[in-house]
Amino acid sequence: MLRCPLLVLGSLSPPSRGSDQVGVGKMVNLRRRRLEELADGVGGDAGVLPGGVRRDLVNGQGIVGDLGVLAELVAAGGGAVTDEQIRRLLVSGHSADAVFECVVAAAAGAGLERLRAVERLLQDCPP
Amino acid sequence: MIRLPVIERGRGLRTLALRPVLRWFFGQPTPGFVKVLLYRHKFFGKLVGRYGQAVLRGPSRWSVAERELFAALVSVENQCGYCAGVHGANAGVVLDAGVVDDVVHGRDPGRAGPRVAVMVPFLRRLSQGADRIGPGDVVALRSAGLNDEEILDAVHAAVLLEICNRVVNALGVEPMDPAQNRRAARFLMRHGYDL
Repeated sequence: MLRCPLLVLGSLSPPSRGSDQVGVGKMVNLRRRRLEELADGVGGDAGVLPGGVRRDLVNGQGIVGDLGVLAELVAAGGGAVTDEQIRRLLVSGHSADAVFECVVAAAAGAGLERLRAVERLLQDCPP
Repeated sequence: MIRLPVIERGRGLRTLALRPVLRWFFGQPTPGFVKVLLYRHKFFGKLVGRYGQAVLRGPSRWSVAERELFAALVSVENQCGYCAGVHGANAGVVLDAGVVDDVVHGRDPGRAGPRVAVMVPFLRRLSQGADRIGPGDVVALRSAGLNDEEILDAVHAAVLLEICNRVVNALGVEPMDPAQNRRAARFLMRHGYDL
């Protein structure tokens, strides 16, 4: 919920360092859970693109067709996506919702891939 | 201009109701990524906001400023001007602007302390690709005194931006000017990301 803008302009003291407090350890699990919720939401039932397509993208797998080309560019950083490419997708019959879902799912996949790589490394290298 | 006109225009009562408030606070134009977050809010904006709040706020052995610094440097690596500007400004609320600049552009990561200096090259390589990191990196991070919780906390800050940078870049969200970044930073440092 967006708060009252008058409160936004209230006291803006620098945030305290959140270190060495109770709950630090639990935050790792919370952060993982929040990312899973994001992945589940993006790859879940509610969407224009079929859930299987979105789940493939979230899991870092490619998809076929012109949305697949877009997803590859997004996974590579998104900087190479052009106005013209998006315009063509819309003209060829893809809805804005479908394009949006493709972008978000491919982006989530790129993020998850990196987290999983680090988690694997930490697991494979015992302290 | 955002590449999907429906996001630029806004859709739904919630978005239309919030537009005047956002204009009042941020000035013109409304930050592009805010428009993205409001579009299909339940599908993406709400969930990524909750993840952002957990990652960049809340208890951690990294300070909020350090986590914002990681967010900014990943954004620079991904050439995302919008996110680099906002998160750099967030870090700059606490840290000296010169320190932020030196760290995120890799000139002198040590200026934000030895722990940050160790983490920066790792996050930079991770951003270039999951295959760019290996067991030697973990050994180096642990040898520098970082435990797995600290490593994962920093990596989550990076992962959040790996996602957001791609959405921003692909949708063509334009960077804000420094004054708007400072306004956004005031808001985010006060209220966080779970909106």
